[in-house]
Amino acid sequence: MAELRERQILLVHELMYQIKVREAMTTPVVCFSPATTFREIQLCMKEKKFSGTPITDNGKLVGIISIDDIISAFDHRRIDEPVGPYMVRDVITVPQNYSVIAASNIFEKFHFGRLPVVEAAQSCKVVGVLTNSDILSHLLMAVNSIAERFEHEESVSGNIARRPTDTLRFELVPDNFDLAGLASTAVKKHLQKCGVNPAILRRIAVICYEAEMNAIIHSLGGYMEVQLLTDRVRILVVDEGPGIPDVEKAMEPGFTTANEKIRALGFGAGMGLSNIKRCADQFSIRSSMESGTEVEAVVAINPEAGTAPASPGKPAENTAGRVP
Amino acid sequence: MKLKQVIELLGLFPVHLADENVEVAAVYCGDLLSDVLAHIQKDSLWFSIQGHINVVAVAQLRDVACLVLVNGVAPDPQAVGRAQTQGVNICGSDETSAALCMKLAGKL
Repeated sequence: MAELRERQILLVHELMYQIKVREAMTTPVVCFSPATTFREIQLCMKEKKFSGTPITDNGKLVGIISIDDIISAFDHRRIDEPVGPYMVRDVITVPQNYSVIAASNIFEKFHFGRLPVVEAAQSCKVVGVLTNSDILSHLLMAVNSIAERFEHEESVSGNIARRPTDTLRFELVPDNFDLAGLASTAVKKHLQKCGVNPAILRRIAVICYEAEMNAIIHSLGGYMEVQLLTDRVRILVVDEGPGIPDVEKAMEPGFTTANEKIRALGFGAGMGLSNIKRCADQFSIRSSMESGTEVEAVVAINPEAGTAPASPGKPAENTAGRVP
Repeated sequence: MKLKQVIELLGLFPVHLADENVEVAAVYCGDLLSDVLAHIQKDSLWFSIQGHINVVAVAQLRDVACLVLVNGVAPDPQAVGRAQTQGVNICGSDETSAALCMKLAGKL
């Protein structure tokens, strides 16, 4: 199992080196001159649905404006002024022939939302814009096409074993709040496509998100595996430690070990595990200080067939919050 | 009531609108994400002061109609980017959750 995981991580790493910035970037890029007003840019951002743009002068990159700058222009009542005097001038760029791993390192180091892509190192000519999501979606496409090729080769060779289940698997990286929630979002979208009932899907989404966040906040890393079976969905989250000293206490609503910083973000309410249990038809947790924690939740996807008994006090769908 | 009517009624500042014609059926106020996950109803207007990227995932996972950042809180740029890729509506307001709820009372 450890060997398989290592191979999967190696594949992603290898792809990060293979994929070039120009393959993943968004193009053509919308650029503005320093004389453009904040409002003109804001209207264009709204229409074209982007959240940052390079500022160029005679085709040369001179600055960058993000939605943050637009918001502070609103705050300071200078929305109708030109962006030139206020734009960020020291723009970090990435050349189009670099691997996306280089861009990914820049994103990680500086916490930028986007990077202008230039024609070559030392060049000021903008040829595109790259975001973390661009990298991620290109990576997913690459992995997908490898998987398709693999399946095709297997079916051509005639020895393909029919997959009995549909399994999704995600690596969970400790403390990576930027990617947090993406696994749960992908699970929800996939199960939606498979026709899982929306109310049941929202319960599954809560389970995945809480388990994913628990692993990201508290663990040393791990993985989440979601299996779609004919009558149920099985969610398994396994981490590599450090383990929960008192599982019974951890299950109590309101009990938390999260620090101040985590709580300020709205996490660490001490409701994660109890939320998972409440939304699941079957729930189990095993934790050891040696090997880590394993949470397993099962949700019946066609309860009327009576395949998995629903525990009492279930319906997560409620009407609380309606304004009278 | 449709989101665009709610925006007009409450004087909200649109940050990112993926679909302003979505029907708003309920309201929830909350800043603790687990609490919101547990209690928010689908198609809700969600009042919060949390403007970071993870809030967008919660809104997407629970089929929230629109996230409204209250008390003048500005969203993180990454949150806006994620909202665009995930098709999540975000608006802002300088008012408090309570003031906005009072304006909405009986109207939905």
